[in-house]
Amino acid sequence: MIKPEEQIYTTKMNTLVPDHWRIRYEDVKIKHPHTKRIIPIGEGDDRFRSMLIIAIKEAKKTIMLSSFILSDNEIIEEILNAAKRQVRCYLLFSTEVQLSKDYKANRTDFDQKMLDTHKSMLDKLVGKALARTNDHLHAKFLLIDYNTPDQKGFVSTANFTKEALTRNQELGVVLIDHEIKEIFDFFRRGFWVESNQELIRKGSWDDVKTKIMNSIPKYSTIATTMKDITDLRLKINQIINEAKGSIIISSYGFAEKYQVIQTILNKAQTNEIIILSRCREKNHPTFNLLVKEGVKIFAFDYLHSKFILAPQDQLGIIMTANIEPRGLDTGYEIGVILTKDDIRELAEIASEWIKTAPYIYKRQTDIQKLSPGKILLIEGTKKLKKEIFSAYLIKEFEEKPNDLRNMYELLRNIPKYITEFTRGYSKTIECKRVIIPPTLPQGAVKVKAEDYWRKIKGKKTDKDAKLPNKFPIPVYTWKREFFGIIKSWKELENVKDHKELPSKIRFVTG
Amino acid sequence: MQITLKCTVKVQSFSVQMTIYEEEKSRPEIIPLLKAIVEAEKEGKIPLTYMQDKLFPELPLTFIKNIMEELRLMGLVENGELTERGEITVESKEVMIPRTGPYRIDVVDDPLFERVIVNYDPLTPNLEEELLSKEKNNSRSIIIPDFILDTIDHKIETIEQFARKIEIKDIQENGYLNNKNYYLEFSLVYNNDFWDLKVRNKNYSTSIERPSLINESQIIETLLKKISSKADLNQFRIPVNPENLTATELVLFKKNYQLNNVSFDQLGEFNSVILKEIEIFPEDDSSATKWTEKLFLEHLSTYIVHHEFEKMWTDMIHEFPILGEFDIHSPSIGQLSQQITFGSAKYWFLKAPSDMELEEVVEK
Repeated sequence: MIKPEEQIYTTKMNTLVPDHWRIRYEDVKIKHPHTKRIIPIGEGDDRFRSMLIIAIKEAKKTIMLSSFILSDNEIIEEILNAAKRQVRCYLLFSTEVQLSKDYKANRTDFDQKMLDTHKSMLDKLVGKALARTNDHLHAKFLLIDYNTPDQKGFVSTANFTKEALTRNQELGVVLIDHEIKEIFDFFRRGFWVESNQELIRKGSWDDVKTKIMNSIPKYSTIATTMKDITDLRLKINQIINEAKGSIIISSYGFAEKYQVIQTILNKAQTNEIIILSRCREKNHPTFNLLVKEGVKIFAFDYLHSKFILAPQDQLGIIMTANIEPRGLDTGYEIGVILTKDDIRELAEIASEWIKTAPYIYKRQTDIQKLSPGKILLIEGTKKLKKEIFSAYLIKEFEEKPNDLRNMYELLRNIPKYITEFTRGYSKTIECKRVIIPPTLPQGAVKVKAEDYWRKIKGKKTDKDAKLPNKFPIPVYTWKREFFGIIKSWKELENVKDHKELPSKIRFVTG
Repeated sequence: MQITLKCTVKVQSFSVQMTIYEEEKSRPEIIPLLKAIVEAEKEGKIPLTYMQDKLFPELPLTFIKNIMEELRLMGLVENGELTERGEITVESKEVMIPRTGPYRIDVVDDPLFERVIVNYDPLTPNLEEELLSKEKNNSRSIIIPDFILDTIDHKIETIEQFARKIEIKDIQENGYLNNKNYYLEFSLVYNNDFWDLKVRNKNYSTSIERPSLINESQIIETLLKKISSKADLNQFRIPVNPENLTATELVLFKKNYQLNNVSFDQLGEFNSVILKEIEIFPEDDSSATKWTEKLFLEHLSTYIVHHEFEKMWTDMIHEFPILGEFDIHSPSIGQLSQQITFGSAKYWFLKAPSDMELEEVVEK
């Protein structure tokens, strides 16, 4: 019996999948190790934020805070409460102008809300705390009760916003006394030398005279970027160059054609380098260069931490600057040079992050070189989830020929089909066709050969004419049409041109 | 220092029958005429013909007779000779013409006013009855008080309304007190050794002589003592606590005061006394230190480091010599900052350099 035939036609695609992030996991829990000094932030882990809030609550004499932006309402509230206790609060921020610029290009409602909170915070602080500002003040740290037995200090890669201190992949560092001393010096330079405006009277920022300091800072536990000082960049380069083992680098931003990037590229030829970053289109040109050199790049949706770590070499630094000229060549940034214990803690954190990072970067590639799976495309602020398929059936249809002879022809010919595909990318595109053989209509009546031929030859029986008394195959009639039942393609081949069948006969299955 | 003693003085108005000698300024020829009569007498000549010859050669004698008659009516000449009044006129060169009739006089009964009659206004004789009848409706008949009658035979200088002198010769005891009174706002102003009298009234202004009863030193001493029992009467200054002084008072070492209802012997009571720019000084060493601190904070306009603080403190004392009279202790920056509102600009000017070790920084 002739059965329906299913055919699949496959076309191999040669699509170039653009720069993208391969989605490794969609819902993985990060297990932050319990560390003492290097505190991981992210995925709702707000241990570091709690430390900051408690420290501010317990402040007795002074609070010195530096952050690009401050919009965490609880931190703001505690600073105001501290001021009520007559704790002297000194604050450094980036200017509103700079903040507006930075958040302008891709400003979301969320960003606007953060800016508004920051501005309203400034109004509340006048008369209670002393704030200074300049465009480039980007470092984030907190010093409590400096130069007292109860002094405390923290450096953060996160700005002091609630989201950064709980959601983002960030790092906090709990400072020791020697670091606090050096960072105090860094803060006072930020206050007296780096700032150009202060909020001392309500309503407006007053210009302040920049002061100069005679001494050149010499730090042993930190490295900084300040006016005419680029020690942080030097330290980063030093760590990368001196590392003999693997290097892990984390940053929100990686500037294209930048000296430090070249250092990394050079090092990538001899060392394993892993990068942790955020899915950001702006980084792609640099990532392409790095990936070409074998660097593996992992990302989170909200990673913002910045560090350089060479664990086998016991070298590392956690900093507030991105791998960009703005921050390493100019700006006001700080990096805490890590001790051996710090490196061990950071290595644990980094290892967990690498393990659980949802994304890994891939350059633009021929689809045939990629394995199937979900990917993320970045177009400006838009993130588009797509999928790579090994094969994708884009069309499935049926053919119902009215004659087995037509079916036979169809089976031999490859149909044309549409290759549009918007759901993602596929290594092959498939088209499936099912050819359904024609069947005998219901109600058809079997035809006797003698009756047929008598009808054709005439009513009168000619004793001399030899009428076929049998058809070679069963023949039926229905609505004045004749149908021949075929059991196999061989049978069809044998009878298709048979003269002892009605001339206008359609071959069908039974 | 400026002291203003203010009082409101009631001016009463009376209608009286009065005989006055009133200065005549519009007849400059009278003195020469009287002199001519004196000369005539000296030369033993008849005054009429002498005057005609000397003064009016073209005019008839009748004219001269008319002049003589006029002079007689003025009380200056009698029987061709000068009267006593005429002799006084030639000697004083003041022509005082007697006038008798009804006058309205404005009077003040106050020890400050030597002149009782501050203004006078003749009532037109032709309308005397009419006006008197009008005045009667608004007046009441009284016996003129003695303080007014005492002005008889006293010359009253320069009443502005008429800009002339009068001498009261007679006031009838019976007169009328008009109901409508006036009030003069009277200010006696002492302005660095000089007393000035100002009188103001909504109807007219009048100039009155400075009272001779004023003893400046006594007035100032009385006032200063009222302000403070510890007033320095040698230097006319008041010791004060700087706590409630304004910035201007602190810097200038001067303060204004106002006293109400102050009486002086022989001057009467003043409703209000305003003392301006009275010198003030610290009560004691502690007060002087406080004063210096306040001045310091007033001048503080930027961040200062420790050595700048010390210099500024010393300079402050030198700038105000009064402070040099006291033993002033320099506070520390911390002590001084405690006197300032937490979080204010000046607070930060003091505390921030200390908190953030500004000592070594040189300003660009």
